[in-house]
Formats: sequence, C-alpha cells, structure tokens
Amino acid sequence: MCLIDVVNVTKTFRSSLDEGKEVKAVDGLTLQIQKGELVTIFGPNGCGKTTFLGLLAGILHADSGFIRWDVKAGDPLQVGYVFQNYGDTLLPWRTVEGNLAFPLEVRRLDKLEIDKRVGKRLELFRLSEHANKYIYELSGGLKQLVAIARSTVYDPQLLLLDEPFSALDYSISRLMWRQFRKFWSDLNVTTVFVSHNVDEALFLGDKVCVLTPRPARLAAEIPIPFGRTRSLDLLKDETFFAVRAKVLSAFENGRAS
Amino acid sequence: MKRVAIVVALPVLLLAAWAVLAGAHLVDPIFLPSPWAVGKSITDGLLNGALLKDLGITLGRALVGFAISALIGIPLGLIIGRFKIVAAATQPTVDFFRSVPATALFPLFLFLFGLGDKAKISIVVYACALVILVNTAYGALQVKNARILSAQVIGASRWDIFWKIIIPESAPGIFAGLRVALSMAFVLIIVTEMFIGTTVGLGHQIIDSQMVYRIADMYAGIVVTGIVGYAANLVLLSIEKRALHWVGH
Repeated sequence: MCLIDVVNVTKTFRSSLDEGKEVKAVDGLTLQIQKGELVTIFGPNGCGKTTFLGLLAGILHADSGFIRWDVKAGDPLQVGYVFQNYGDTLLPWRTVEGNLAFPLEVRRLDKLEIDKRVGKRLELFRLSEHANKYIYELSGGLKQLVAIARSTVYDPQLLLLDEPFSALDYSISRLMWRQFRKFWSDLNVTTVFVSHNVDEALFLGDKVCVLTPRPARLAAEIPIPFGRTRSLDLLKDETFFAVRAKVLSAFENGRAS
Repeated sequence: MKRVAIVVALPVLLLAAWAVLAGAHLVDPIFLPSPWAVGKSITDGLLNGALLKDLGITLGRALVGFAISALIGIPLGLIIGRFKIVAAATQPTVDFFRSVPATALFPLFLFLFGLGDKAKISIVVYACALVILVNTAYGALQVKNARILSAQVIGASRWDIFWKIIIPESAPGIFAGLRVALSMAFVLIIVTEMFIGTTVGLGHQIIDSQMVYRIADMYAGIVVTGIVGYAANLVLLSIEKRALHWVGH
C-alpha cells in the first residue's frame, strides 16, 4: 500500500549569495513510498537530497507538484527526522533519558507513561546503561543512536534520516548499518534514508532511489532483493556486487543526462 | 592541597606586603594603617554589631537590585536575542544608555525616586539590567537553528521551544551577564550609599570614617566590602558550574 505519493515536485531557492540567483534544488520529482518500506535515497553531494527530506517533513513547501499521504495513517502525519549534525539537534543539558523524554513531554503525556515509553525505547536501542549519561559523555556513534531513538520514541508513521552516519568512521558506520537494520525491523516504520554511500544505501534499503545531480530528479528506482535480516557478510557477496553495479550505472547515467 | 596553595598565595603575599609597609613605617598610617589595626576594627565592628548591620543593609540593597535587574534583563534579553526586528529597533537605545554611567544620572534618579533606598536600588537596576540584557541577548543569539528546527519536527510548540530549548541554550550568556552584574551591583550600591543620604550601609560607614579620619575603620569597611563581593561571586560561580556543566564539550 502506498503511504506517500510524491508527484512532480519542484523546489527552487533564491541564493543568499550570488545576487539572489535562483537555484533549482528539486525538479519534477515523482516517487512512491510504500507503507513499511525502507527507501534509501542515493545521489551526489548537494543534489537536493536534504531538500527532498525537508519537503517530506513539511519544513519546506513545494513550488509546484504535491506530496500526498494516506490520511488513514494520520493527519497530520507524525514524522521523525534524524539530522546529519546530531550534535546540534540533541539537548546537551539533558541526559540520554531526558532527550528521549522531550518529544513525549511536548505531547503532554504523563510522567509514568513517558518513563515507560522511554525505558522501552532505550532497551530496544541497547542504550539502557547510558540512560543517565549526558550527551557529551557519549561517543559519536552512541550520540547518533540516541538521536534515532529520540526520533522514533513517539512512534512516527514516517522516519527520515539525513546521512546520519556520515560523520562516523567506516568501521563504526558498518556496525551502525547492521544495528540500524535490526532496530528498524522491530520499529516497523516507513523510512526514507538519505545517503551518499552506495554500500550503505544498498545494505539498508528495500529500494534504492537514485537521484540525478542538482536539480534532483529520479534517475532510477532499483529494488533490493536481500530480505529483511542482513549480515555484514552481504557486503562481500556476489549478488550484492550485481545490484551495486546496477545502482552505479544508474548513478552515472543520471550524471550524464 | 596544591590548588588551595595556588589560590591563597597571592592574597597572603598582598597581606604580607601590607604588613611590611605598615610595620616599617614606610607609609603614614593616615593613608594606610597597619593590617592589625584594620583587623581589630573589623572584629570590634562585628562584635558590637555596627559593622554587621551595615553589612546586612548593603547586602540586602545590592541583592534586591540584582534580583530586579535579572527579572528585567533576562526576559528582555531573550526577546531581543530571538527577534531580529526587536534587536534592530532597540540596539541604538540600549547602546546609548550602556555608555552613560549610572553615577552621572544621580540627579535624575534622586528627582524620580527621592533620597531613600528606591533611588539607590534604581541606580543598580539601571546599570545591571542593561548588562544582563545585552549578555542574555547575545546568548539567545547563539541558539542553534538546527535544534529549533528539529524540535519543530518533533512537534514542540513555540512555548515548549522557548522554555526547553531557548532558555537552557541561552544560559551561558545569562550567567555571563549575571556575574558581571553582581560585582557591579555591589560597587554601585556602595557608591550610592556614599553620596546619597543614608545612615546605614558599608558605603555610609566608609565615607563617614573617612571624614573624621578614622582611617582604620574606613579600611575595615573596604575590606569587608571586598570579602562580601568575593563570597557572593563564589556562590554564583558554584551555581553556574552546576547549571552549565554541559558547556564546552
């Protein structure tokens, strides 16, 4: 079933430099996101991926075209958004627990219910032992886990992630991919994950949407046939290479067009 | 232990230098009496209650002025820091008054508030509220846009964002303002006690002793003033350390 329908969406910014020259970030993007699906968005840096997430989150509004969603899932749609710069979005004056409580506090849930939900989410993300630590006492990987946990603690219908692991080194990123895929199965939330790393996009996604360089258009939509549970060995598998080659040629064709 | 030694070293050195100057009769005691004479005046003043009363009154006036300054300066500073249009509209006025010494405005405050405590406290508030306001506004300006944006996506209302993000994140600026304002409140209240009619307070004690050449008593007032200011700053600093533990990581 289709949760979100992106139809012919265009978004243009007026550059603050360059004498207000108009910059087209997204151009006629059409795309469907199925309920319960993990879609990875793969495209070159600066192609308009973040703009696309902003449009989905409702922070930005399309100049033309529209985004509609299945209102049976909720209206307005509850969205969780994990930003690239987790350091600037978490609350450093609160503990891990306090950060997870924040979205529930603004929903005016009572203290007992908040504690219960926060405890459950901490457990799922294996963060219980860090509950009382402050954000600055955590490593980069753990901080990003807290950010993801916070964005899902209120059970949003749509989870958006903007290159959440790009600041981590390669070995930590790989562990995060595995963990994320595992948590995600339990969360059961429709997810759009933006990445500029082809391995990440393939390992995590049920479907990869390859975007063209700016302005972003859909270059290709490639299903990923690896099933729900995935191990890191997949990264060395022949079938992985085959899909990877397909994605890369779509990426190159997108650049050429 | 080593830390205590480092902290204590300079005060001990200054006291020793003072004792040597006075002991060797290098300075006329009419300008600088010996530390023990000043010490005796302090103990006497505390024991007979006169100095204690002056101290209490001065402390009370300064802290009331400081508290009112915070109540005015913090909210206004937050508003100025968060709304560019308010900042633009108020900046010339704020900067103008920031450059006018409170002490130069004595006549105006006397005219408005009379000779009593109201005038003295108003002068403290005028100067300190501006300092707190400017520092708070600067703190509020530092709030990360990404944090506000992510809170909006989470579903936080403007009210939630104000209380749970803007205020805590402005706290470093607020505390910077409070620290400067606290010292300023003490200095200003003593000056007003010296020059605006009153019968009690450390400033009054200092100027009275000076006029009748009870120089040891005058220095007693000065030393106590310094100690009180230091102690008040210490209290504020320990609160700040706890509130801002997260800053700078």
